[in-house]
Amino acid sequence: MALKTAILRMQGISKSFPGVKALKNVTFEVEKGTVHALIGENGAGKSTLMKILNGVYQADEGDIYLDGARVTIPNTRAAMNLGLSMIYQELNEVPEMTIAENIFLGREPKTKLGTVDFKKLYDDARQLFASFQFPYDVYDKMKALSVANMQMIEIIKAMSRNAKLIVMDEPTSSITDKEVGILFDFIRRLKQDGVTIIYISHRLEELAQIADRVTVLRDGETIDTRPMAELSKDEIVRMMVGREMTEYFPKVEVPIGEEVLRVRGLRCEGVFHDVSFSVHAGEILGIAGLIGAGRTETLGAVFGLHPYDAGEIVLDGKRIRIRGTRDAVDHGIVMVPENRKAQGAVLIRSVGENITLPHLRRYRHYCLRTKAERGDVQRQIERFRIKVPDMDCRVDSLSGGNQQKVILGKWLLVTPRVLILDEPTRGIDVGAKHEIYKYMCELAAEGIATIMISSELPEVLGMSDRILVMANGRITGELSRAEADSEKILRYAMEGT
Amino acid sequence: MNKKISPMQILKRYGIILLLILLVVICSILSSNFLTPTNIFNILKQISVVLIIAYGECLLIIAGQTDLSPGSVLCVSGVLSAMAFVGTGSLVLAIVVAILVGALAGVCNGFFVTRYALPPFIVTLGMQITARGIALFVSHGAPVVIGQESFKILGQGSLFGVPNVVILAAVLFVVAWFVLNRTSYGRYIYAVGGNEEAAKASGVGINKVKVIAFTICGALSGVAGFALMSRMNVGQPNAGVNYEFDAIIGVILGGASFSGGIGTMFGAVVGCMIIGVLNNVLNLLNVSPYIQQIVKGLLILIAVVADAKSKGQGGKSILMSKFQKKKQEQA
Repeated sequence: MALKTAILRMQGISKSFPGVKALKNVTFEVEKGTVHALIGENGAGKSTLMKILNGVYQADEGDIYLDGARVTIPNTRAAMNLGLSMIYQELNEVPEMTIAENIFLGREPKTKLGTVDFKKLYDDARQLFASFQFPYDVYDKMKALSVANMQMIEIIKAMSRNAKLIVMDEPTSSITDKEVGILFDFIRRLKQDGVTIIYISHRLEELAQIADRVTVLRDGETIDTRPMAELSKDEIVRMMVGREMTEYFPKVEVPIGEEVLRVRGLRCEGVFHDVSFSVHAGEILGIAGLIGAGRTETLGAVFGLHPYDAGEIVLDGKRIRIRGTRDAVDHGIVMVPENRKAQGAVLIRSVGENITLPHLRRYRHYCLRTKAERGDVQRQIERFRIKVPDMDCRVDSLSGGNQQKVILGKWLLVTPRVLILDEPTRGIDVGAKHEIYKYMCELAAEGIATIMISSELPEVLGMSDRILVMANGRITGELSRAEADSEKILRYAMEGT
Repeated sequence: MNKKISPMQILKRYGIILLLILLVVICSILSSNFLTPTNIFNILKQISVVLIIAYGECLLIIAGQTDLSPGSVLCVSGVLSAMAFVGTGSLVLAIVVAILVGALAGVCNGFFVTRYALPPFIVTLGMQITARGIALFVSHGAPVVIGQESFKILGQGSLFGVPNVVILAAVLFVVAWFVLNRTSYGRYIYAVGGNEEAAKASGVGINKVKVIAFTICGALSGVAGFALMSRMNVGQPNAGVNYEFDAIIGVILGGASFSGGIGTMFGAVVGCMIIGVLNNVLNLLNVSPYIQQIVKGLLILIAVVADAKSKGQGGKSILMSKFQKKKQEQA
């Protein structure tokens, strides 16, 4: 169903990364002068596809046609020259420079002497502002603008480079509703001028307002491209998740015991609000939601990594105060962080040192490296079958799966009361994943209360006894293992967005 | 990657020593006065003060921090200590004053670095200038003259022919080594320098660890200040300039990484000895002090290049990476 007026046609695009096939024979077509939404779950391949279009990645297979002509895009500069522009979630502006300077950064007009021609720079900027009816002064500093306005500046910048096609990655993720309206007006004006927009977003309500057509990606494949007007929200959700559960989860249901941890009204202004939940001994509580829903921050607060303004944390019926990670560890609340490299382990130190780091008080303070310490480390290495030449080798010499097991070994040297796992299987191979699931079940059987944050729906559904869904820093739904399915979770995850 | 690498690991650990031995051999050939007991004790005496500072710097650099103030802190502690001694005649009080003043400067450094999340470079540079100013102010810019002989006991006395200050440096080395290698605090130092976020997420109170490290470095600067003033038997407000740089160069030369998480006390000592030997032999050979400075400057560059090159390769010392290259070429 080739479109007659297709400005862009990406055909048969495949792309693999070590261990993952990110895109499988994806075809993606965009009509000129439309707003085309690209949606899919976390990890469906949206970003990879757009990075290929923008020259950040190279496709392993497949062709890109622009206005009917085949093009190669070896780098971002080539993409820019072809009139392609990408606006990322994180903007890269220089806050202390004026708006005009930001627009022409790196390509300032020059005088004959080779100095910057500021007169022309500001004149050009003023012209751009006028043509886009942008109500700011070109001499204003960039930092005076709101995020939405900065985004518009990014668009203006793209337009000043004669962009024909602009990709916007979650442009509304960090702006207010009012600003969304301003941004949408702006996008509609661009459309009238014949500019094409590819719009990546999770927010289905917004798509209904702005998008003409929508393409759904799932697990690196194109599911369908349909006019937005034909689709209901439910249909889109179904297209996004309609996958068979091919992965096998070694879930063992164990009797659920007493309540271990209860969180009441936990709040951090602007990050998470009135979060209340509880978790019981032997239970695996899954926390689902889209990236940016505030899950990591909320549980980070329970572990003392993230500040909170109000709320209480109750352990075994007693209210406890968590002012830092030390307090949490002392109370037996531990957390395996989402980002292994940044927070999980001290990569340049040894496996042994990492495993005993939180527990050094167990040994005689003034005499470490004793048999007791090394014995404990050896036990953890054997228990979690960590593949290491010896306990003195550096953590960064291990594979991702083994690194994750080192972190597990660290927190389970002393049996915790509450184990928080943040994306426990992200970026590790299938074998190690399966092992980690098995350990989770074993630990639950020991009576540890487990909280698992995960963006992978099959994992959440396969491993959890109970599932909480968060959106915009609030809990929007709670589902038992029996009643949960992908559609319900996704519907809750998109609630209020 | 298990047994095969062990000769390399030996080299990695002892490469810096080989460099020192090589340097000693070359020096003995170049100057007949070099390898005499008098000269050796002379070198040791000279480096003792820098060594005492280097233990503190070593802790800080491994923790991913740095301290530019010890030279000045040493001076203000030494001067105040000398004044206390002149005022009361109590040697004990003089020593206590030196240590306390140093520790106080260290606490201040640590407080500003952790409380306001400032870079140690700037904070300790401020301390360097402030401390020097205080030393000059309290002494009115003139040396504090000490009449009695007893003040000299640490700097000029000796026990069984070994200078007291060398004994002190040796004892402090053992303590410092123990703290770094055998206590929880030492582990925290490595963890904070290796990955601050991960240390925090493992329940380590990173700010406490840093403040203590700055305090130790300050207290050691105080001890060094007393040792130096005692050797000169005068409270000299211009003493100790750039001592922190000698200490830092020694620590880095000894295999510590400026980005933190890697380094040893032993390496720091050997690194300082290399500098001491180099200074000494250049003096013995009557090399102009200007050229000495050039040599030292180049040494810093070499040390930093070696640090950068070894990044991500397990923090090998300079010699190590050279040997490895040779081996790779042969293979």
